[in-house]
Amino acid sequence: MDAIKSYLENMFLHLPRTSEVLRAKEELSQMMEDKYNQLRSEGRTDNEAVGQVISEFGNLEELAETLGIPQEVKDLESDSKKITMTDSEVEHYLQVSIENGKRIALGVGIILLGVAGLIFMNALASRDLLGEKVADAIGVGGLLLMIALAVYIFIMSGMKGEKYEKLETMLVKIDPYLHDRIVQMKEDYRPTFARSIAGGIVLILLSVAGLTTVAILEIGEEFAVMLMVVGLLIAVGIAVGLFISAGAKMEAYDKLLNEGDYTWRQREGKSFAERIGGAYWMLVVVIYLAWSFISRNWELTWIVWPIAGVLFGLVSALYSAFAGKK
Amino acid sequence: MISSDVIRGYTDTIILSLLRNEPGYGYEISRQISEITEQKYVMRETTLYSAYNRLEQNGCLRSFYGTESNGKRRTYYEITPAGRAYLEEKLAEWELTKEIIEKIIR
Repeated sequence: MDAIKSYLENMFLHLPRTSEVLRAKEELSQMMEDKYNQLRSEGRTDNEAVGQVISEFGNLEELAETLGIPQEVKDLESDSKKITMTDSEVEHYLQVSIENGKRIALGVGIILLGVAGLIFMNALASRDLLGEKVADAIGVGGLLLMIALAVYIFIMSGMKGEKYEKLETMLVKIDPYLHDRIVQMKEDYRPTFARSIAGGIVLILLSVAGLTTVAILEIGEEFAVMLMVVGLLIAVGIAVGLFISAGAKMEAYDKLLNEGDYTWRQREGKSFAERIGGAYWMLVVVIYLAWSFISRNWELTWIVWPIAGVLFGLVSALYSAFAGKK
Repeated sequence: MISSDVIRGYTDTIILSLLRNEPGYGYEISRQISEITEQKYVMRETTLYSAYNRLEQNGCLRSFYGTESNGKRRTYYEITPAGRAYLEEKLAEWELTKEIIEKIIR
């Protein structure tokens, strides 16, 4: 009987959970159970009964029209869009994803630390504790070193994750018991995930509050503002690290379960943020550094970051709203 | 072995005629079909469910929950007046179809 249950589970695994689909599943399950019991009472063995029930079940295509899901079924029928993963592959994938999340978080943190270092050097220079040229040399040199280190980390993690690149666009097929286990793991992780995100946001808000207070009240002038910017960057580094490492773990679960951003519909096209995010932030870095070095207004140029952040959020929200309508 | 294409057009007629006298649940209809036809025709579960669903949406069937002696909830299907009218139509159509085919091939 368990074999029949898992057969049906597998059939319905990737279908959207609309009330119609759930009802169909329940009805079909009842019919199969009744048939199995009938066959057993006629003296068939468990194996014979299971075999007959499954062979006489029919096919999903026939249900598609009824359930209003022809496209989903067509996608599922074609194996080209599915990838089957075994227990050990899933375990390895989760391990790699979690480690890579931490690696990328570290890389981003290092870059932000480099930028913070550059501003710190300029802060020292503004107080004449350091020559302007020396400050630039140490600051830029340090930043480039940090970027090199981060790029190394990114490439390493990219190579480790390469094997699972397919999961970006393909649906994952795993056996229902494993599926249930991952659902449980995801549920268990949810509170920690929420804490990480909330903690990161609080950290950023606190440091922004600190910076604006100092800037508006003009406490300690330029030097103090620049130190607050350094503090803000470090806080953002920690927060982004939290977002990335927690997000990577959640994303890995979603990919395995074909949920969230990785349902068959979402996997069709990459999100706006993914498509232009990289180029956008590079451009922002260039604008920030160019403006800072040309104007030497380090205590003012940090404003690029919150503006860029809000703009990015706004544009990607608008984009997904319009893309969703199509 | 019967070609399912031939019988497909009569899935609704088969189900409605088996429900003509009393309501029935999912597997009951499928069992009756197998029994009456001496296993010469077995209706697949997906065919059966699609038909129930379609007929219910057309207003030919009405479904309700019945509780079995073992406490399990089952969906029962019952023919509606519209379903009876449709069945009469389909039965008349079948008589005509049978007559025409017979006349031609004999």
